[in-house]
Amino acid sequence: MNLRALLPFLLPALFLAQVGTPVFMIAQREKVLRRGEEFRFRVAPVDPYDAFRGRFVWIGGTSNRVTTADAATYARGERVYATVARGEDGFALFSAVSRRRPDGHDWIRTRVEHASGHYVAVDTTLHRFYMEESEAPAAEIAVRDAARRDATNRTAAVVVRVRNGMAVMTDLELDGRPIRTVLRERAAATP
Amino acid sequence: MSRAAREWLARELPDWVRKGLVTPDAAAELGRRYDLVDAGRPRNLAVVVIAVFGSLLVGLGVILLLAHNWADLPRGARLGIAFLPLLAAQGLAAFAVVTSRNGLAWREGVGTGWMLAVGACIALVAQVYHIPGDAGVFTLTWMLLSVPVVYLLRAVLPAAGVLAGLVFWAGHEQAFAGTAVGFWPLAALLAPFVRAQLRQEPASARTALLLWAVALAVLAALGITLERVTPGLWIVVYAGALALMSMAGEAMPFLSGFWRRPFASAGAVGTVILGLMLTFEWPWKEIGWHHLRRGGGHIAPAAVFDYAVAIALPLAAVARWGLSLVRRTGAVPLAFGASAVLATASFAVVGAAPGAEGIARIAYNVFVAALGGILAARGIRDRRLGEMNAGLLTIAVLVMLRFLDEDVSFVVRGLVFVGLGAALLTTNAVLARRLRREEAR
Repeated sequence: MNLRALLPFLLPALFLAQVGTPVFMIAQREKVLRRGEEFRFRVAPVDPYDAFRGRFVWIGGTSNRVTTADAATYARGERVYATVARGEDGFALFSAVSRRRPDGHDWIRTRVEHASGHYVAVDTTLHRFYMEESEAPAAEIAVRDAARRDATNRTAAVVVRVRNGMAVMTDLELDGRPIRTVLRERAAATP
Repeated sequence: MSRAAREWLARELPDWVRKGLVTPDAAAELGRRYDLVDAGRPRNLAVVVIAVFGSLLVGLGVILLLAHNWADLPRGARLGIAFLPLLAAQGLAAFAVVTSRNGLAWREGVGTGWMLAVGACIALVAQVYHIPGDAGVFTLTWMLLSVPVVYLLRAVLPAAGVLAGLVFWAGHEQAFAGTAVGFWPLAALLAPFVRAQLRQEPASARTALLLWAVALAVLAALGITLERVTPGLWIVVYAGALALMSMAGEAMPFLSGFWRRPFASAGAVGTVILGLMLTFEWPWKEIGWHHLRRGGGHIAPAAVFDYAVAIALPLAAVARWGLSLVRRTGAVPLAFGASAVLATASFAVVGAAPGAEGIARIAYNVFVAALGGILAARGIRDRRLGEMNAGLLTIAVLVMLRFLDEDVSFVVRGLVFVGLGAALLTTNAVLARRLRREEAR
């Protein structure tokens, strides 16, 4: 077989595969952003550093436990569907977990983090909120302060759109306002 | 006459002329006869290095710039920018292929930048959409999309990059998904490239670089992918792999020097280190099939891989060793190949009779001392200072280890260390003087 003769076909195929992979990732997320249902998850971030992707806010403390009678039957790492719903305070929570698609609800496809006698903890898939490298640490501190001082009045939440098993973050909010607006106001207030 | 032989002849001829083995006229005639002009022309290494280093810097710089995550730019603009390096690299590659620009600097430089651009594009899209970082999936996607780059540009650096990436992926998979046996079929994707490179330019620095990458990746991946259900199996597996490596490396006699012979060097260094380790007690404790590990994250089916390599590697090494024995390839390949035989026998004996670890340790003390002696002897015979010192150093380290872990008085230790040091210095001085005298003659 002469590879050179096939080059006019192989080269475009390779280019297409290399461009197509990220384009596919984009298309999936754009669909979720356009048609997905919006939810807000309460968060309590902490701080690491990822050299390859710049700074981000680490999303933690999101409630990921689902109380269910058959919790003991789930194994760590098992693929599951977690139903997303709104609680009484308006924030999102995982209301059910199952091995089959929960039709008629919003859900994400994820894995079991761990399971105990009466509850299943799922991977929220919401881990990193990327920001500009100068902003991320400030955002981290602002959100952590808010979570600590008086958690009843001030809340940090991540805004997420959910559709067909995928959750895409759109913003980080402090007391219902976008984090970048809050940071800009703080920067203006401190001389 | 093969290209390998021509390259070798082209390198040797000037030396022969200098030593008066052939007249300059005869050398020139030989050069014309075997068409050595092309093979012997020194490749412009500096240009290649600068091209690669330049594209690395540009690539990494662009990644850092984009990683800043310009929040004021709309999403579409940020995504567009993420694709720029990739499209540019593809354009350069297409240009190189269409116009048949196949200088080394072009191929290695564009290949390196291209590979970086593929990873950067995916990573930046992941950043824009806050996609949770699954390093395993990301690395695997990146490497699979980079393998064709290696073949298209016949570039060694992207190949080394893919191997490094796959080793990282294997480590990640072993830790988080349970097993990383998939490393081997994935790494095999590069096998035809390595073979072609070995056939076409066995003596080039690029091939040496590629083989170093292969040797290190294989040794690292062996450790990562072993499931360790049977304790101590690593001894047999590593001894077999290292013995095969050193014997394969020794089979290229027209190359010389530590860096030029990756398999021989990695195999020899590895065999000596493994041998030194096996003179201690801990590797032999609680090994063999009487101490099988169950549960606790050990995946029994993945252990099939352990058994396969634990049988295949020593078997191949012993077969190869037998071949060396028949062909009388010299004491050094025989000595290093014998490591596989000794390891397999020791593992079997200690596994069956746990009390026998003392015998295995004694055997390994003798073996390592013999390795050092044989290496030093060949070094002295062939007038190779480096090899002689490697052999002597092996013996010295062995003796020092024994004196450190046994209960010996400071006086005796002191005397032995002084003696070892003096012996090393004297042999070096003697050989160096002899070399100088021979050169003067």
